[in-house]
Amino acid sequence: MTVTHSGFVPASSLMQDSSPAPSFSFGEEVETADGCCLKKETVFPLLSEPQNEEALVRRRLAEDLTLVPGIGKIREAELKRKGIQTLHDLKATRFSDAAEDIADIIENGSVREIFLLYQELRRTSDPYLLGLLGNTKTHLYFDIETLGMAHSPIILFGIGEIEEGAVKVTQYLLRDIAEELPALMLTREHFKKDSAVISYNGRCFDIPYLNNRLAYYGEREVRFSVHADLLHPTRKLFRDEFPDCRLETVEEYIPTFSRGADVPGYLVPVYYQRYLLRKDLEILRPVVEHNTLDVANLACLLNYETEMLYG
Amino acid sequence: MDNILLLERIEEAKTAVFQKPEETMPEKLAAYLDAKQIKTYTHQAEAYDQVSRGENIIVTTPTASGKTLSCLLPVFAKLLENPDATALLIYPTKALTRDQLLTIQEMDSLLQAKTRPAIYDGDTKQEARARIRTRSRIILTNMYELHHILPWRAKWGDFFANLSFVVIDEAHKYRGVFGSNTALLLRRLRRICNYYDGYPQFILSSATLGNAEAFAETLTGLPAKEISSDGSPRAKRRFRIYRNPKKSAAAAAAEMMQESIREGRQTICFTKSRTGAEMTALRLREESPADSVASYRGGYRPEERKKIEVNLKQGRVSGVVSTNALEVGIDIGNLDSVIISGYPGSMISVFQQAGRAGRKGQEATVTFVAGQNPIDQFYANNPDAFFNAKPEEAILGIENPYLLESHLLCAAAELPYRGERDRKYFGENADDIIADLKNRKLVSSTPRGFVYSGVGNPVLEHTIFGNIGKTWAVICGNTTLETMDDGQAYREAYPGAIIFHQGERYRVEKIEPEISTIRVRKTADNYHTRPISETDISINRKEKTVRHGNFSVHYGDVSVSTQIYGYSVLEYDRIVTTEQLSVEPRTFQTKACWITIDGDAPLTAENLAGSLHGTEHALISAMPLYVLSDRADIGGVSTPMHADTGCPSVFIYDGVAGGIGLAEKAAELFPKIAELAYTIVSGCKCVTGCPACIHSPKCGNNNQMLDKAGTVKLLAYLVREMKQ
Repeated sequence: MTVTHSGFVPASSLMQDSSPAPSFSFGEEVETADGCCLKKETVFPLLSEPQNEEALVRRRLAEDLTLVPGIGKIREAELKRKGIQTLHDLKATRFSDAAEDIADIIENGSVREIFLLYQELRRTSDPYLLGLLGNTKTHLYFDIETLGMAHSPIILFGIGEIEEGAVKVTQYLLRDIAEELPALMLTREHFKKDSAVISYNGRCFDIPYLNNRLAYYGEREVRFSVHADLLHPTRKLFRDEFPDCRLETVEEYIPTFSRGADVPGYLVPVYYQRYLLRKDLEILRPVVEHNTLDVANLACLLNYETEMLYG
Repeated sequence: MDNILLLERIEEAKTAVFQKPEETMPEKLAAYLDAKQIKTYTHQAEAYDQVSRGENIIVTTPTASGKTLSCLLPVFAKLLENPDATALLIYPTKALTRDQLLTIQEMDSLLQAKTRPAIYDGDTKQEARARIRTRSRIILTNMYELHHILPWRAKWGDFFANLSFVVIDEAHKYRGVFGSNTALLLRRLRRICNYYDGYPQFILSSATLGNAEAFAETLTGLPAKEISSDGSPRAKRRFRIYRNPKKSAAAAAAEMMQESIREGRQTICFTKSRTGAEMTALRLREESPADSVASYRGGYRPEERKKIEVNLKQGRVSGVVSTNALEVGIDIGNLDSVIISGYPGSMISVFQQAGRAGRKGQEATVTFVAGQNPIDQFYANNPDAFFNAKPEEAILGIENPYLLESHLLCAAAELPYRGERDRKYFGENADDIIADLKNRKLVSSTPRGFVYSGVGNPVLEHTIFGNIGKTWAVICGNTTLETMDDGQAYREAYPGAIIFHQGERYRVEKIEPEISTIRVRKTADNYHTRPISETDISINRKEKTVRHGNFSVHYGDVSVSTQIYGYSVLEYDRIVTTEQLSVEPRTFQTKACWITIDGDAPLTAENLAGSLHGTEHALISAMPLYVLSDRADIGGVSTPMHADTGCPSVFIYDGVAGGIGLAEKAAELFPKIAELAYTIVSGCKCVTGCPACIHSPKCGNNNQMLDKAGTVKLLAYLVREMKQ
């Protein structure tokens, strides 16, 4: 599959930038009231930023009659044949009550209200929603690496934010388990009331895991405005085209920042345990790189999908 | 009729003793009792008062004395007064949980208490869970689920912070290793609640125990008051012991049940095994009106169980044959007659089963039918001993280092472990274990305390409540008849085996291990099958040996394997033929303590096997006190000539795969255990062995091949050798 257009630098031209450079660093130590940990920032320039298409997106969402309880695909087709194209047009039908509230939220509600509505309707996998994330200033790409699948510490936090046409990835790395709490506290500071969290399977994994770790130490959970988990929209869009929808697989088919010496996600705990025994940070380099790219590529994926739907 | 009545005793009827609680009761609750015309019995009032005054209690009144209400009244009183207060109700089986939910929901709706009672266990749907956690104030669950819930405490919002009561129903079930695990789990729960400044009270309901208050304190970590003054009325009850020299207990019990039903008395017959229940029911059905007799046991689908329970309560069936599944407090009302077919293994069970008898104003009977095995025969020969027996003490403890380590890992994953705060829950040894876990990188020291830092999920890695293993489905055509666990499937569902289900016979046609399915076909043939099996033990690695004179005590890794070689085909109780089978043995690795006798022990060719076997039983019965276990947690094998040791040997092994330190402790304390075993057996007045000395309720050979005199000699020899 070839991709002809994207707002990002094509994968091939970035190869050299992200292959292991001699200047690789693990960042520097930051201090908090609860101790310190390592902080590293990496900037990935983007060729262009997505356009804010919110008006178009709202129009598109309002064409989806199946949002109204009781209307399925078949009934929607029937209604459309009769000339009922939007939620507004349902006014004259028996669905008018439910449709009116939904239409109102889609037309006038905040982005957060629309996301909440879709959550309630269990429709957050709808890829068209992604078009609402036009305000890149609020984007917060998020991915964690953990020592185990449940109840073990988080050993690396990756947060991506868009600044001046680039994704800036901030990472907090633990040199010892005692540094988990400072890293958690620093991570939490990135989450703002208006943050739009963007993750890959983060609804089930990264965010609940983060919150459970905060609570474990007796700290309050993170708050944000909306959460777009790209896993489900990606499945909807590409289920039939890609062999599977793991992030690593998806990256092979769309333009992303390419990976150098990388480690498969399931080996992260093994690397970190080895690090804990030898205390040689170099062991963690592939883990840190893996996470940086996981975060940066979330931006690529989001942009690719919105371009594809609205471009 | 060849049933011989050995002894009969009458327990006179007892009238109800009512008492009003002294402590104030919320108006709604008082109005509820009035509306339902409930006057509280003495024990209910006492329970209410003690709990209102902040005490923890253990209620040990008999089955059907209104124990449920004793526990629920103070809970609802508090939850009515404080709209934030919550309660956690813990039951030993899912069937009982379902049964209790209905009672509690009804009470909640009549009281308009808005507690939204709900079950939260392995069967609770994912999408319903969040809602239950945040909205329900009464949650019903089991210990296994609680073990999984605790690390996710953050998802539980204020439930644990506001937890006012932990109600533990059928608390006597938590003894031995299971009880020790539960005791540690409840300490984890208390630690979490205390962290949120919550201090729940514990309300336990239990069968009659020899040591109720001490038991409750070990189980929960908090002192408790026993409430045993039963104020409920009792019908006149006739207790009888029978034996039938010509028939099996099942046949004799079936006959007595037939007669009892014919007299118009609703009857329950308790059997020791699942097959026993089905076989007895089958005999009865041959001569009873259709659908008048039901069988009941674990493994049935929930709807099927519910139907039987309702039919019983409403009198639509005149009799039920059940395993101990109906021993617990499932509400089936009281019956006119209880038949106990064979000794159920403990006096605690006998009391529970007998408690099912007695309807208001009518005379009830409890009949114990002694079987052919030596324990039953002992009671048949000494019926007084049966009537005078006291309920056993329930033994458990939190000191087992294996269990403690597993629970400390879980605790450290729930909340950082801090010695100065947490020692009081887990004991003085906890700090040493934490230091060891730190060296093994399973916990890490942080300014907030020790944090779990292993790779695996501590809740799953350490199979604290035993390995649940696979569940097999028994399928006939397209219908799932029932489910079985691994062990049952091996013992009962070999190719060619006959499986009984509600009076129908099914033959096992095909076993499909990949999908854990047993395919059966209905059969009209009038026979059943019994497996022929043998248990073998082999030594994998010897870790320790201590020599005492002419014998040695060893400790190490062993494999225990059970092999089914074939099965007997029986018509009624007569073996018609036997069939060979070639199936894989079922093997598990565990730890064992074994003794080898290579010197001039006082053993002769005639008494060798019987003495070793008796010594094995005696040692196992002496162990619980020293290793804080239940005898069901320990297994044993004895043999006059073992292939790996080359001499007469007695093995005692941990029943839990991998071992949890019971055999290890036994090896360490062997001199003490052997001495106690000697004291018990030599001091016992019986001639050929009895349940108090060398008979074991879980003996695989039905207590055959036991030599009491030889056992006394051998034990005396062991004790003497150790003293030299």
